[in-house]
Amino acid sequence: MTALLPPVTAANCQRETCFAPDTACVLGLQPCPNVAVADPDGSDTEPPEGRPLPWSGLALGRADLSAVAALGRPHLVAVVGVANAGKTTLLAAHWLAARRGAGRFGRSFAGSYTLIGWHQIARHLQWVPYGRGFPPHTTAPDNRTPALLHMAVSVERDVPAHVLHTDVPGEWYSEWAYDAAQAPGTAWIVEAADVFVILADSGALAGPERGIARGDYETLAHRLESVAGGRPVVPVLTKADVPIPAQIEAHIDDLNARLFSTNTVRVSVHDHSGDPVTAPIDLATAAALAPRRVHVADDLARSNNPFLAFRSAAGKP
Amino acid sequence: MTVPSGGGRQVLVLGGAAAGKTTFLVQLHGRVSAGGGALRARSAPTSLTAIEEGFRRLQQGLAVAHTPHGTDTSLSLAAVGLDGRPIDVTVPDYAGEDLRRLVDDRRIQDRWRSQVASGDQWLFMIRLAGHPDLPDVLHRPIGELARASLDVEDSDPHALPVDMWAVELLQALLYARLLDTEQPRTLPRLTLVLSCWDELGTSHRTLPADIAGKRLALLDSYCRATWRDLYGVVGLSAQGQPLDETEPAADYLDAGPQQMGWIVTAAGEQNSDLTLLIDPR
Repeated sequence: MTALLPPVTAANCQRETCFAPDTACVLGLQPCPNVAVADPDGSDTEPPEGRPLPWSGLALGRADLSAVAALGRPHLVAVVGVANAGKTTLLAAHWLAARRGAGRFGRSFAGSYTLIGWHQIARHLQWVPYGRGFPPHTTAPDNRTPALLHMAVSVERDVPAHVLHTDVPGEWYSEWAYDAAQAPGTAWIVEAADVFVILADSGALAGPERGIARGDYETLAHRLESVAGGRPVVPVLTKADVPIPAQIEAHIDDLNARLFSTNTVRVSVHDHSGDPVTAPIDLATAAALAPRRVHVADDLARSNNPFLAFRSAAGKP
Repeated sequence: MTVPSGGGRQVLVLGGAAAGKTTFLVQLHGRVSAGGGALRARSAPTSLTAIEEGFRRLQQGLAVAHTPHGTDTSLSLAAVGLDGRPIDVTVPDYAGEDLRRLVDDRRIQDRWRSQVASGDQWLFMIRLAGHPDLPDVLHRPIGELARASLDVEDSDPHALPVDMWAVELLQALLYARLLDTEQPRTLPRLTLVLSCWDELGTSHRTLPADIAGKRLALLDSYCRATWRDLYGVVGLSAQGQPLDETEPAADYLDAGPQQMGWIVTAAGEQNSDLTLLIDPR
């Protein structure tokens, strides 16, 4: 029977959520039998002394999340936008604001388990081609993988609140806009998010392909509205220093007001006459931290949730 | 090394390489031996080899050389407070290399587990002049900023800027402190020491907390959120003035290093009693 099991090799724990030796053994075993495998050559490379930290500092994958989720319900801020819309820039601005003590949460930083991940964002690491789902665990500090960035914020409670920000390629959203079944990563995000930030790119809306850009944004906005289910959405027009045709601008403003019942935030890193570049994520974080409204089915007889559905003889035909 | 006495307070001096730990320790040793301040020597340290070189250089009015990498010594000063309580001031990582490695390798060595578990106060030293100012996201274009930050900050993608490094280190040390205890342990007092204060060129009565809030906002916010009223910021100029590597400073030769150096208290007042950095509570 044992012969059927794959040989235990270093860095290959059978547990789905364990990434030893990258992080500490999830069972707290020291030494972990999966990692402390003797060198087959007999050369005695000494195992490194000490105990590994349970977090890698890199952005979090799906399975890495459990460590943060154990600290309290994480609040998820989803940054939605097609490629080159400015998602990374907004995240980088949010992080640099925390480092400079600027913006609404500039003095509230209370720790992060993804410091290296934030550092990569702020250094503007470029995307390498990646699939359509979150990896369970991120490994390479030189590569950027779709992942979640963690920041604990101190918000006049006894314990800090934990906020997660999505950092995923824009292609996920462009595909999802036209075919919701295409992007499992996006499906996870829209399921879990507390609040959305949706970006429209002035650069694209002013360019020769502006018709396509307008259509893409409209499709994405409608798709988002259909899944948001009352969750707050912060619509943002990025690169606001680039002038876009007045008709397109009015169209985007109307669309945002109609779908998300709120004004469009205008930001630019080149021109500071609009909203501060930190405003979109700050607004979204504040909304994510606000007490969540509980949805109770109005008509108990017709609730989709079998637990809430009121089933009585009266409901039967 | 002295054996830490039971029941006494354990003070750990932490900081990266070139944070000024050696000069501080040499000067603290001088102050404690002289006995004029809030802390007096309990017994002479059995071995002064770790600070001997620095001690001699300061006596001549010369800058203390950086502790070479690979110096794996720790040093304890056995002192006693005004109320007679024993206090041990320990620099567990003399070269500052271990702490750098702890964050880089993401492993807590066994000796750190016992060190951080027993500490009552951590003195965390950062020499701000050794680190460039942060890029300004709110007033400069991001693209330009990205290029600039790549030039200024360490080109090694794994190396974190000092504020982020310090947060990661403190998170790791707090985690290590919880490892060996069944019950939640109270936090140690945390004192952020901005060393080489004279290099910052601040005006009279500048509050150290204001400088930390401006230059190290991330670290300052983190410490404030985590330690609350157990956290404080002080300034330190262990030498009192810049010293040259080769040209002796005359006032050092005449007055002796014991007369030199000062701290800036949390209230912004200059005080020559370096032992005030150690909290007697």
